Amino acid sequence: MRNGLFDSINPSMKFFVILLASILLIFTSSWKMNLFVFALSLFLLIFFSKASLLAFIKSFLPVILMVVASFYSGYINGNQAEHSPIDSALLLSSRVLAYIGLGFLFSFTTNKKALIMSLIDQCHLSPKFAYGILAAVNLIPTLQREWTEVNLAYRVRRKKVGILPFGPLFNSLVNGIRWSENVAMAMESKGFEGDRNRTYFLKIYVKPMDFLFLGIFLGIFLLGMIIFK
Amino acid sequence: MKWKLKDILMIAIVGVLFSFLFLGANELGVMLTAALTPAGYGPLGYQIIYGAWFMAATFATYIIQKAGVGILAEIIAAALETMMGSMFGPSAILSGLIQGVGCELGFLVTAYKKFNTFTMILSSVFCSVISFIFEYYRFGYGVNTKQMLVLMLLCRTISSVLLTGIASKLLADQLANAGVLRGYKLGIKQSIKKNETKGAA
Repeated sequence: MRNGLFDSINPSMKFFVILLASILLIFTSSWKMNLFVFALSLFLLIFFSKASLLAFIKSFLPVILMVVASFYSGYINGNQAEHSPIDSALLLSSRVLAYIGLGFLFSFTTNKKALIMSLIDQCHLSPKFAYGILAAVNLIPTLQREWTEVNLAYRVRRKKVGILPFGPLFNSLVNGIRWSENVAMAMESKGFEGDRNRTYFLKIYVKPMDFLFLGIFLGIFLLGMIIFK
Repeated sequence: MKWKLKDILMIAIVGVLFSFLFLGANELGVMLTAALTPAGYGPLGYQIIYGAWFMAATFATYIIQKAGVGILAEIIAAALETMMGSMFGPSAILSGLIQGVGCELGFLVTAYKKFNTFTMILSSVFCSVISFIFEYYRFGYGVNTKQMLVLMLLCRTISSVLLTGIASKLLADQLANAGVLRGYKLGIKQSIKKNETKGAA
């Protein structure tokens, strides 16, 4: 049975616990630990989150190439003096998997608006940054449409764009920078001052469950570090 | 340090636009990785496009010309990336911070007085080297041979100098010429220069 326990954990706390796990992982060098972390993330994603598994599989496909490339490169070009080829290959490729597992565990279970509002409530992020980033996030679909249109305009004129489209980037930057000035002006003219003393459309709180669940997660992670040394 | 809402929004939107460029570069990276994998040089594929990661940071620093813009730009870019569902999640913030520090170092050398081709290239080299040192530990590159490590760092640095150093500066200069940056330091400097040459003639 899938339940959405991991989706409802406080976003900032989840963020910092997963960040801590990512930092701890730097100090380990065992492919068993890496695979353990990946398995733990998968387990939580499947059983404790309601995230779409189809979307997960889709995002996971390009990762396979990265893992195969680092496996093969470790096998062929690994430092033969210290590790056997298969060891180097496993170390390099499993590390990529471990980080991507932790990354997906966070991104697939976290709502972006809740994350930003929680950063204001729990981490004292200035609303100026929070709402500035939120404004940009909400502009992404418009920017994307603009990007497609500019690229199309280049094709209509039979101008070559190439794989690094600097021409369209220039045109989009012209509009993007103008928009950023206009949006800032619009926000300020509506009385946005960027100080903390204001009302919020969403308040995020810390629940006892957050401590319990993340405590268990960190406990299992540390246990893994000891077992798979 | 006081940040203006205008600057924060500009950095964030520029970050989004550079990410569109990066998606194109990413395809190139995937193709190169696939092509190089049979020879065992797969990881070099991504190094060749790595400079595209740092572009927004030097670009914004060159326009706003203030200490801390590089770090802010990289952290905002990483935050956006995390929110859009990046595969690296929270650890993207960590690499963003490290890359931002790299970007700052290049301009710190001249105490934030010079913003020109030299400091842009210096900054791009710092971005490349510092991010590489971080990833050496993060992804355990230690098991690679020295030759492979040198090749990886070399590819990353060349890409960084071309994209982060030179292309970013050219783009910003063109924008200033087009008159889009009148509200920023680079645009103001440009228009003063134009007026001076007009006065001389």
